[in-house]
Amino acid sequence: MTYHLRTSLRIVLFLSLLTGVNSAASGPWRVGQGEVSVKCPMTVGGSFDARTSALTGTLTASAGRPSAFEGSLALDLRTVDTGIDLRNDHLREKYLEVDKGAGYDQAVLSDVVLQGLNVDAPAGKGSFTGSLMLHGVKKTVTGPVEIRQAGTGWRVRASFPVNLPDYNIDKPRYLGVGVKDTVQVLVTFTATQS
Amino acid sequence: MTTTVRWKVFSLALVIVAAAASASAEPMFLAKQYTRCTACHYSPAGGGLLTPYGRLLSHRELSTTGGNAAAAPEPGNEDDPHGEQAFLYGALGNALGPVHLGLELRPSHLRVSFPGGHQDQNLLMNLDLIGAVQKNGWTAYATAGREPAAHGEDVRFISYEHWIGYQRDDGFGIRAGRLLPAYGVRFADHTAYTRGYEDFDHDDQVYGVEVSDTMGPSLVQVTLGAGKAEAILQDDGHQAFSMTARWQLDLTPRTALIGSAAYRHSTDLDPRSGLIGAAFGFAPTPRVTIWTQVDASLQTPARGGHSWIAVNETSFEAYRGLWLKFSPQLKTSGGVPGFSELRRLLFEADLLPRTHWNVGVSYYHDHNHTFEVSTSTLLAQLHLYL
Repeated sequence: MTYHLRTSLRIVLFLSLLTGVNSAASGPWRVGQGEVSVKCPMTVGGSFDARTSALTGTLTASAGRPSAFEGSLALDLRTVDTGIDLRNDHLREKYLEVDKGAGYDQAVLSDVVLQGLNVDAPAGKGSFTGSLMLHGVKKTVTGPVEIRQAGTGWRVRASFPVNLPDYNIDKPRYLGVGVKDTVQVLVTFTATQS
Repeated sequence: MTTTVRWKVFSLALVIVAAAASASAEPMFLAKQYTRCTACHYSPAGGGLLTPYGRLLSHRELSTTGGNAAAAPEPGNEDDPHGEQAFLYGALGNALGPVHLGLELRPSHLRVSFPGGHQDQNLLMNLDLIGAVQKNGWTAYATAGREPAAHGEDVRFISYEHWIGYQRDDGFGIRAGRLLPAYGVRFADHTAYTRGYEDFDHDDQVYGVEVSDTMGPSLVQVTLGAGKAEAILQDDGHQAFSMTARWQLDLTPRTALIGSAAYRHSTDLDPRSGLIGAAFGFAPTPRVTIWTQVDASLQTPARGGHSWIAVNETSFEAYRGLWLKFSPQLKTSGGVPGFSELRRLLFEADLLPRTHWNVGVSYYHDHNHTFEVSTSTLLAQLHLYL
């Protein structure tokens, strides 16, 4: 009796732990501190960074699709800063048209799928695909991603190119100086799982 | 020669050295994420006439009292600058068409102090009219002005630069004419050791061809010259083939690495010589830029032997449009008798109230380590850019 009781307790304990681990691994990833840096190569040579830390969102491991996440990450485009006021004005108002209405003031990344990484133990290097909604246009993006354990959460670093004409964004040009068609987006954030 | 006379001669030489400055390039703007000169200047080597974008940026973003009040040209109307972004404050209206002009004047006061005395001089460093036309990738550029009197000669006409260039969208560029060869960092101060002692001074342009190519974050520039322009024009025996190569890699928008090399063939009067060096610039914050350039000067003993030349320039924007600079500089003697080891400390304050006028105050402490002699120079400049 004692033997069976001990065995039963061990099984219950094991199942409880297993369930707990699984629920922790599949819990939603909430974005904590984040930063998005967009490297903009200039037509005259050189480049500048447009940055913002206004990144929010939650990603939840998809029950039906391994390595896929439901939910989205959103970036407030009104906060993107290039370090030059005039350039900020042009970027936000003339090219991103953040005042145009819904879908224009945010960039939203959704339908994220990891490749080469395990959602349950995601530390490592791999790649991802996702859907980027920008300037009212939704397109698939893809790029490398690196995930590291950071305390009780994860530190995520991903990058992908964005071709501006694909999103119906006018070629940024002013007084003979402009930004080339393709910019490189670098997303870095810490995520905690609940 | 008495000591007093010797030092008067020395101070006069220094006055002459400092007596002409070309329009400034400002590597300190790396802190504002500008790694390339061509964003604001017509010349790929930096300095000289500002483009409409450069004038606008100067007014709106870099000047102390500039701001949003600037009436900027509309996109597509680059040839219609007005107000502060135009020649003579737009007094000529549209009369110039696609021609962009700038008038540069630099009234200055110079005081050179040396053991036993000092010498003061008021002078007009620059008086140059600069013009450029840019269409469909082509640029025609020229300066016309006067060179301050030197060596007892009269003030004379000089065109420091005149060239025609073509720049393709894919990054390939070519230009030909009188131009300063691409090498290292073009510090605004033409007396910086890496300029003054390496023949990249205010009048060291060559007649030649420069080919450049931008490949991603890299810029490669190669300049082939038939000789220094002044040597060719004056037929003074110093004319010789020269070649420079410069490679710049923008590691980030605020970090750049530069490698350079130069070769100058022998002349009737000079042995052949060469330079090889590296420069690194980074801006840890949007208000601080640190550039360091180190060159090995590969000279024959007749020109000072193999020596090292190093310049650091640290710039700090204390307030919008007020830049403070500190620049230690070194030139070793090469171990050749008759050539000295030189050290310099430069402190500078540049106030940029508006696009059309800047004020600069520089204090140089120069020390000849070989002869243990020090001099100091105070230079105050009003830079009018009309």
